[in-house]
Amino acid sequence: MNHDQHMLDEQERQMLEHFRQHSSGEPSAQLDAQILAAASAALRSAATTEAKPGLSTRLHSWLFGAGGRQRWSVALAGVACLGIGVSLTWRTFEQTPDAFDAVPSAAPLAPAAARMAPLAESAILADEAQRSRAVPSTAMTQGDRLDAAKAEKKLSESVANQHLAEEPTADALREPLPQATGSAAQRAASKPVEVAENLAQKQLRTELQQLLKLRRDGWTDEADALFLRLMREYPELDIDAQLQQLQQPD
Amino acid sequence: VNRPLTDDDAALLRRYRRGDAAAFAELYQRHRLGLFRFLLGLCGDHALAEEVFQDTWMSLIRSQSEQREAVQFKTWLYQIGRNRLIDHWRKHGRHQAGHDEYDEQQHAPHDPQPSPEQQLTLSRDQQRLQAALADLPEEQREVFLLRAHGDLELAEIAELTQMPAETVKSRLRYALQKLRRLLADPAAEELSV
Repeated sequence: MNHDQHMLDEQERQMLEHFRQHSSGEPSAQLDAQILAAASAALRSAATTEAKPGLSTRLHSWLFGAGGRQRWSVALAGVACLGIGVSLTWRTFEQTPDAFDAVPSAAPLAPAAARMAPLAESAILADEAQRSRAVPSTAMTQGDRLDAAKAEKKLSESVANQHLAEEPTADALREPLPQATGSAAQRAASKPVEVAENLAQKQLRTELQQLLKLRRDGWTDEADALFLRLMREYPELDIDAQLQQLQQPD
Repeated sequence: VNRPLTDDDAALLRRYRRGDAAAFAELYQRHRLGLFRFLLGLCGDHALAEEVFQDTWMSLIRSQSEQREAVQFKTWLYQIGRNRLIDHWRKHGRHQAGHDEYDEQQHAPHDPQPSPEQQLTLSRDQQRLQAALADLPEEQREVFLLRAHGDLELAEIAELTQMPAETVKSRLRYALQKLRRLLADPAAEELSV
């Protein structure tokens, strides 16, 4: 049995050896070269891809590689910090116009105040005039009234005399005189109004300068809002012309 | 005799994966002839054998995986080649003389044991070798080629072909008997042709 097995093994070995020795056929040299070149090319391409791994690849290997748990916590902490930073920045950004660049809150009232100022001044003056008229009428006695009447009479007489004495010139001066007295009175009455107008002008100028500054700094939304507000408050004003005027160097 | 090069093959493959082109050249040189003759013996078509041979090596090159611990590199390589050839046949059909299912039990008793004289007169004619090989049933031819050119052990062939080791062993024995008969007896060869 053992002998038979040995014979079989020997025969198998001889047959296999015979086939190995006398079998023909081999791949062409061209095919060999192609396969070896492909292997080298694959190595080169692998080296280049390994040298420049993509961001996603690096992030993936960083997160899911060794020590991934710590890296996950670091990544989450980073995201949390980023979120807090963005939130703070956004809030600061929202508050900034109120704090620094915004038009003062009193400003919208300024034109209205400017318009109201003459009225207020005139009302005050009227009150004072009334009071000054009322005080003598109430405080003065009958005698005083008589004295006053006399004095007025004297004054009127003297004025009449003056008129008579200066008759020739008085005619010439008659027309301008009331005007002169009227304009003086007007000037006296309009003085507070002018002050208020000056204030309003100054305020308007400030706002126009503010508008120019906003446009220069690129705050277009705020600049447009201010421009619209100025248009509403000063509908008769040519804002663009005013701005150009402001921009012109003195 | 199987060369104890399994570890060496695996080491060469690892070196290649780490960027050593010379390691691949050595690996290729070591297995090119055996794999090609195995494929040529299976399909009998030089052009097709070259195509499948190239496809096999290219798939090895493209594959980024290293050799699995449990599988020898050679078994792996021959399995890739065999699968590629079967894929080709599935896709394009087989263009070879078909063999009827070979009834091993029916043929085995009639295979006479060759005498030493017959062994000495084994034909060295390559055409006769090819003809005798082509005359084998496909399953026997595959096992014989894996043993002869791949130098694989029976257990490895069984793993590769996913057949029981005993089946592989009997197929190899019948293949050897028939080849011996065909190559030793010119009359038998004429009968088979």
